[in-house]
Amino acid sequence: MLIDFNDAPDGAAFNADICIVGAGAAGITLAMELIPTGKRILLIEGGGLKFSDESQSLYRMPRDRWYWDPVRSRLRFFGGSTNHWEGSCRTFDPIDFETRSWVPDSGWPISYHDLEPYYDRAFPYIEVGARFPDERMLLGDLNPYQKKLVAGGFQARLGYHSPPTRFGKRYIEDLDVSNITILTRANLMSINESADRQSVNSLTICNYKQQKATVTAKYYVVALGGIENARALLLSDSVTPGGIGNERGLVGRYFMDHPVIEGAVFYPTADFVRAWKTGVIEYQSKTHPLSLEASDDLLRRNQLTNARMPLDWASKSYTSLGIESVHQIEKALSTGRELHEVLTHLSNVMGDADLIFEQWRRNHGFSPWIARADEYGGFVMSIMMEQRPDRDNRIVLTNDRDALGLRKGRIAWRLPQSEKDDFKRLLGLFAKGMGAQGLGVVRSSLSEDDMNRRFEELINFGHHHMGTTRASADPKRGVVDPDQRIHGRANIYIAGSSVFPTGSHVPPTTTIVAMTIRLADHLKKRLA
Amino acid sequence: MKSPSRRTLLRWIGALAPAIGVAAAWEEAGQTAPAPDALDANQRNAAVFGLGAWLARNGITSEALDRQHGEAFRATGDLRASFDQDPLVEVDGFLLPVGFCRHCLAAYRDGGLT
Repeated sequence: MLIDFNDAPDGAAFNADICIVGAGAAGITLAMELIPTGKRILLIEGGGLKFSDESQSLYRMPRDRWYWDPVRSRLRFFGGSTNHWEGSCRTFDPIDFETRSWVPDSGWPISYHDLEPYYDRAFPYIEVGARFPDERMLLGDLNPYQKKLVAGGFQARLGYHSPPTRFGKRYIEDLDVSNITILTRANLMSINESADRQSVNSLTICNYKQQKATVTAKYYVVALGGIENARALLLSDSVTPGGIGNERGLVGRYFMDHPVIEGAVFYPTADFVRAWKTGVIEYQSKTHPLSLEASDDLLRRNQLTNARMPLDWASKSYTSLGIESVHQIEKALSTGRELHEVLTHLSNVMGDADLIFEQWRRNHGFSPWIARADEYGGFVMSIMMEQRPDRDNRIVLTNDRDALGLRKGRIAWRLPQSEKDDFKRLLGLFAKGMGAQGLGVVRSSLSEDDMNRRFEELINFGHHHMGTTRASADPKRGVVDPDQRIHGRANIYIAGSSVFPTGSHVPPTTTIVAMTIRLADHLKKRLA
Repeated sequence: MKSPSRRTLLRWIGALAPAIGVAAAWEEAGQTAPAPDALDANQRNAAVFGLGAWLARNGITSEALDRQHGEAFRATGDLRASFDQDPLVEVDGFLLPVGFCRHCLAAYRDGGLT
């Protein structure tokens, strides 16, 4: 049954066995998994079935200068941010779950092997088919290089690509069963705890006409995303000062994303280029992107966080030193900044005069003329790094209020110098490994000025919001326990990437779905 | 001496380093770089001398390398071994090993390979 709460009469009340708040990848997966139980499931979504400004604008919030506004990176309607998901998916690596001495506050309360069976069940949800038993068979052309890469401390890995699955559209018909009620345009206002803080009694929800209703259930699951999960707990502070589950001040802390930086150009051998092809392998109508990743051994020896480096085929125009020099000359002229190495820049411009001319033509709408501009010119390396958990990266409440009258969140985010240094060390290790194996040379695209003063400006993000209600068996170190239940509460759970203690370098959707299936199994046992 | 273009640099590096073909330096990806054995003495000399001049122009000198890395990493023309064993120097973005840079700087200082 589908109910638009904006059209519900005053004084409406809702009751269910399980109430799931948030209809994104986690919420919809959980509802789907619980259908066979026959229990009454209420799935609440703040937005409607389609995008609307009134819902989306609730994501607008202040944040530190370098961080992106969630209103641009998340979607607040049925299906959540899967509605613009790019589709990149893969399992985390076993090392991601370990407690690593060089990564403070690392360590999941479960291992990779604990989660592996749930990964197998997650893959059909994201429509990538079964996991490959052995990806090596698909790396045949790269096999001669795989040994060299491994000797150099790196390895080629396959990614998986979802169509991508838009969870709302894909599963709404499957959810049209008797024991599921979907309530749209119903915004969570507060989670109402019992006076003894042992459990949750009810939720208060509100539509866009400011009409409120109460929801009661045996179990509650909050699945609002990495930012809103924390905010919902922080806002629910009428019994527990600071919000539900926040006795130790952990809710909202350890916010993580995946910083991405286009950091270098890799010039490999011609044979390697032929083997790598376009960096994509087609298998049974599925597309699998290739990336280079640091080996476990290299990460351990050098005490680095996990990282991957897709090699993006780049044209000669893209890697042209002459075009780069033109940009620097233009910048110097417009800003009055001193231009160093003037003769080198002029030489670069002369050497690439044809490419510069061609670029100018194309920028002005002329059709391609000089074919050389499109020829292979190197691989651009965009490095996606695991961010170390940092207590000071966090979601906090401000005194500003949103359209529903709730305090807005604010994102405090920084990238410490140690992580910039990690990036540089990783690039150096890659250059050494590839050079020693005779696979190629590396040119960093970042100057000293970029590294020291402009690094944050150059960062992109995966827009993967993680860590704000982290899981730990120890209540002093986590908001939720290994079953994703808020410590000390009998009947409220958190689903989604906010429970991740560390975030790997891998986009989180696959792991969100796997963890949610694991949570569903736990809830099935409790309901039985 | 005129500053070399990036393609010239890549050709020199590729020509000097066994198996580092550096495909981008050639007009087509499929065109293999010349093996070092195929280089005559003049070509080899020109490449090493050119790289040494380019390093010096970018502020890399033997003295600067001594200050930064000590004298532990000796000059070597074996680029792969140097990558394996030596720390790296960043020159115009290129990450190159100290021993190999010393080798090129020495050739530049001496007017060519001796």
